[in-house]
Amino acid sequence: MNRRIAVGASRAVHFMPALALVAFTACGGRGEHDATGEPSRIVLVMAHSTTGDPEKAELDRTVAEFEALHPDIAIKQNAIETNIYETIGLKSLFSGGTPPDVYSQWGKYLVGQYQEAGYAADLTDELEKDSWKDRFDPSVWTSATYKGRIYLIPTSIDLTSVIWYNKKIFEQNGLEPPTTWTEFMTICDTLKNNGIVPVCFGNRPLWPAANWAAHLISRVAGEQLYDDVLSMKPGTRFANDAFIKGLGMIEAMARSGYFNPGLNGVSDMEAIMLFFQGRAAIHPIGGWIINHAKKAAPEGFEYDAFKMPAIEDGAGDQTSILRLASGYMVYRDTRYFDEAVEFLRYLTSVDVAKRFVSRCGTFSSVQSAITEETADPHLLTLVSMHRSAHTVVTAPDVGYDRAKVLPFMDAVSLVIGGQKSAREALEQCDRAVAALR
Amino acid sequence: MVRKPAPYLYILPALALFVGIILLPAAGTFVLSFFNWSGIGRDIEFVGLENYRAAFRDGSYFVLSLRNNIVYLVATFIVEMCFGLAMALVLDFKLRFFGVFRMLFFSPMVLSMMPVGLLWRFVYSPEIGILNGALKAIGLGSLARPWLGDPATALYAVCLTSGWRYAGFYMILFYAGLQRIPKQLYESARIDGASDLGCFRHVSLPLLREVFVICVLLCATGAFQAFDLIYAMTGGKPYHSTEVVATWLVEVAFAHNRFGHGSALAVMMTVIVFVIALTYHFYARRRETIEY
Repeated sequence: MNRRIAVGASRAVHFMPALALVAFTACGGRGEHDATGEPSRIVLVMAHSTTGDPEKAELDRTVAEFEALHPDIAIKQNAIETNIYETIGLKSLFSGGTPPDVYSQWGKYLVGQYQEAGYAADLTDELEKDSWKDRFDPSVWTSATYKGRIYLIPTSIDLTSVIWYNKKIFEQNGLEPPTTWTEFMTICDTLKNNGIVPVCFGNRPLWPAANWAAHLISRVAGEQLYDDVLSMKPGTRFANDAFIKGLGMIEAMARSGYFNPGLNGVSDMEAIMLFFQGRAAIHPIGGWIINHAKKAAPEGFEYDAFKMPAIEDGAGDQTSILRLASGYMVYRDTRYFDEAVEFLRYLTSVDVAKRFVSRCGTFSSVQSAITEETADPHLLTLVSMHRSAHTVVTAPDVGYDRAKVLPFMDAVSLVIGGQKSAREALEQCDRAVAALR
Repeated sequence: MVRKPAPYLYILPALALFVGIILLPAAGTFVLSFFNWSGIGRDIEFVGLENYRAAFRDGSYFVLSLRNNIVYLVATFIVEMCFGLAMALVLDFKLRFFGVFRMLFFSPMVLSMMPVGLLWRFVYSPEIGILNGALKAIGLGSLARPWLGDPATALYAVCLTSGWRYAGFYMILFYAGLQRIPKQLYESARIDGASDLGCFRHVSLPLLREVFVICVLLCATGAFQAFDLIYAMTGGKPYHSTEVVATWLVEVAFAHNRFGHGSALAVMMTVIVFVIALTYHFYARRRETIEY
């Protein structure tokens, strides 16, 4: 049999079971018909991973508003839980032959990957029309651009590794947010001596500790070396002196007993709950904790955030933040490109963005959407951190080729769990990466 | 002789479903195992047996996951079948509240795996779990540990949960087997001076052999198909200590974007399960059947 036909057939049947589960909601025709059989409305299919309220409710409302303003367009949402969407969901839709017209996506690496696969429409020229591009925070375009062209309309900015702390515990122990790593270690020591778990992680999914460690390593090694190694540039290796030193700082924390026990078996949500219950004083995680706090934190729970403390002799920018923009892409071969773009214009209009900020705590990429009137004080803290940062570091979990970064994430889990030294774990990581190359 | 077409037409719908849902995807997986494909786009490359060799290189957890499958098989075999048999024997005594006991023993079977996994995550939670809480309450606080976060205990903790979930199922099989044994055989044994234990050893156990054959096969194939409970409880973590082949191949295919390698693992897994099932079937058929 012709190899091309064999592979095509193989790929198609490979996705059959997944399609049966994931893609059936997207099927059902791409146009609605009136009584005469003539198409009455265009059906725009939108795939995304917004499944929880209040974000989903706000998205539904925005879609309904858009449909009311455009009676000839109907938007059919295919909402898939985040982990499924990231791993199986979106790929199945494309590979199974039911590509969505609009789909949510994380910035940087995945933008390039989907563009190379032929799934991404170039939105550069559209953004120039009516000054649409001017609405956005100018720093987000690095996440949305691939080979000089823009393929992603960013809707939110994710600071993925902010250090949150319990204000009451800090006050009771006479502590102030640290500005240097030495101060941070002193705080951890005080907390531990007072019988409080200093830092908690829920590292079962690997990315929570990996993101935090990556940020720390970038501060020690410098952003260029960090990016070169994570991008697997030829001649680079994970077990270099700077990476060993950076990860070694986490090894020292693990050896001192500063982390919650069994953190590699704890999920990210369980760790957030431990933090809310006051079972740990500090929890490094993304800005999305603000929303969880509104829903799940006990009455009177007070928390705030500080940036990664400055590493005294670090080679990197000590004001840096770990950040990623996420948003929506348009399928390259969609029949409804103009309608898809029109919808994204509406979704990123200032009024809609303000609603997402005020009701969902979204760190919107639309510049004028975040004000003291619309934003939660904690969100304003994040905005302030973002503005004061001179350098943006890309998170390893979705900012780089995940397949090749997973050995690094494994290495961090081994070190933070006290199983291996930083050197041993990074050397093991290099061996795994070499096998992948 | 002209064969009538009717029987073939009757099985056609089932055959079409079997071919469409099982055979074609299986054949597709086999073909894909000789290619490199990220699951995204049209870039695909023929690599021959490379995906099979990669399973045994650094960075692959195939061998470890296979070993974990075997540990899982042995542990679940002991927990599920021993508890199942013990509960069946308790029921066989026809105690008062027989129906309540039967319902209690069987009730975990009606729960789907994801809720079971989540429920037992709370039981094993290092901070708020009832297991550690109970140990501390009875003065055994030194034994408290992060059961699912410790690589030394995580796999066994999952096995215990599996045992809790499935023991009721094996109980029903053994109980049905016990009901089939004629009472006269027990009476004869008693006349010959057999104790309760003697009756169990010389009457019940030999006559339950057919049930054991089925249970062992179900346990073995079930252990190699294990995925949902492990996915819900640990996701193969920590440090891949609970990784089984099914979780590893899903990780490889969907998180590493290596569909070809994932397909190769699936093919190897299928062959292993097939060989085990055939060997066991061959061995079980050779043993003589006791008629009663």
